[in-house]
Amino acid sequence: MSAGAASPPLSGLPDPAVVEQARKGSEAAYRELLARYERPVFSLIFRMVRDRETAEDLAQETFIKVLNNLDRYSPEFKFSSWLFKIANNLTIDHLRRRRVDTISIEGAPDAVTAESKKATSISVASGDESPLEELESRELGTAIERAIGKLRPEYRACIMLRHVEDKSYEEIAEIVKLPLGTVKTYIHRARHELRAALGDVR
Amino acid sequence: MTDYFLEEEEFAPIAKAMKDLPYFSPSPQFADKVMARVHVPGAVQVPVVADRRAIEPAWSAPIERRSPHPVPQTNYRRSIPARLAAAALVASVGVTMTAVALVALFDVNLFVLVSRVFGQSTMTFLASLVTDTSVSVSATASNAAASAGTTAGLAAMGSFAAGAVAATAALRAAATASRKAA
Repeated sequence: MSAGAASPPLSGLPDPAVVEQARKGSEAAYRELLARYERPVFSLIFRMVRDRETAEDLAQETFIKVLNNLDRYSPEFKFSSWLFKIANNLTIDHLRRRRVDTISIEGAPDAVTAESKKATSISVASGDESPLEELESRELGTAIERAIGKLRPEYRACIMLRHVEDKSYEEIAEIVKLPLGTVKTYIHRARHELRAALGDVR
Repeated sequence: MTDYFLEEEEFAPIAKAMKDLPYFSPSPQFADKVMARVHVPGAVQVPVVADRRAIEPAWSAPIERRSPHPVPQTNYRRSIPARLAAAALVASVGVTMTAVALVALFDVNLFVLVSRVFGQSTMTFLASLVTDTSVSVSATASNAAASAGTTAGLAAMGSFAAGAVAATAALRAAATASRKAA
């Protein structure tokens, strides 16, 4: 079942309106939500677990859980916050099971062969920049990815939600289910560690 | 509060670089994989068989082929040799059963009966045939029994068995060939 020809274009609608369309049975609305958030959610999880297959599995699990429970979504909250909250919960649970505290940009800790290291490593490519800017940006981006990988998972989630996803402290507290003061502390410490790690690069 | 603004200011370049970090893309089939496991409310639940027909091209072979059931073949026409053999078999069985019934019920002496029907010369011929056959069979059997356990005995019994197997196989092959010809 898909949205009929008379349905308004979904790409211009805000999230709550798209969710409403999805609740009415529009498959196109489900796919619109997927198209909007698959990359941010996948990126957040990938930077947390540093393994493409695991990240994809966790992202799939996140979307399946969210899209099958759209009836429980309350429009007074941001849809993205709800989505990131579930993604974060699943990822933290996974990391606790795996006991992976810190990760390296050169590859996952359990990657032993050159192929597996390459598969789990992160390369930062930038967009429309000059070769020099691209090189500098790539160098800084790679350094940031490396520094983020060394943070504790709790700090990692908070600092990425703050500076990659541009979430407010209150939203981050809601997403990671922690008190506002704890979130501020985590972000403060994460910034401190990132500044220390990136001192030479900047 | 001053510390907070100082921290924000010091972290601004890194924050800007973090904002510029690229997004990573999942595999191209990601959305389809998710949608395959999402229940869309109000979507028509298509029965399995109808759904399979929908995705199966109209010109394709049937998905399930039934194994052929063994149907009794009653109306096929046998070949002439097969019919002759069957008639001979029926006739011999009939004659044998009749003879057995005559002997059992009326205590008829078959040799006397045959001699009366076919004459004395036929009777003499049959008597000599029976005598020769019994002598030949008893000699073969005694030879086989005498040489049992020896190589020659084993070879004789083996040849009997091989002959029996070959005769059975030939009969079955003939029956199969006649059935196929029909």
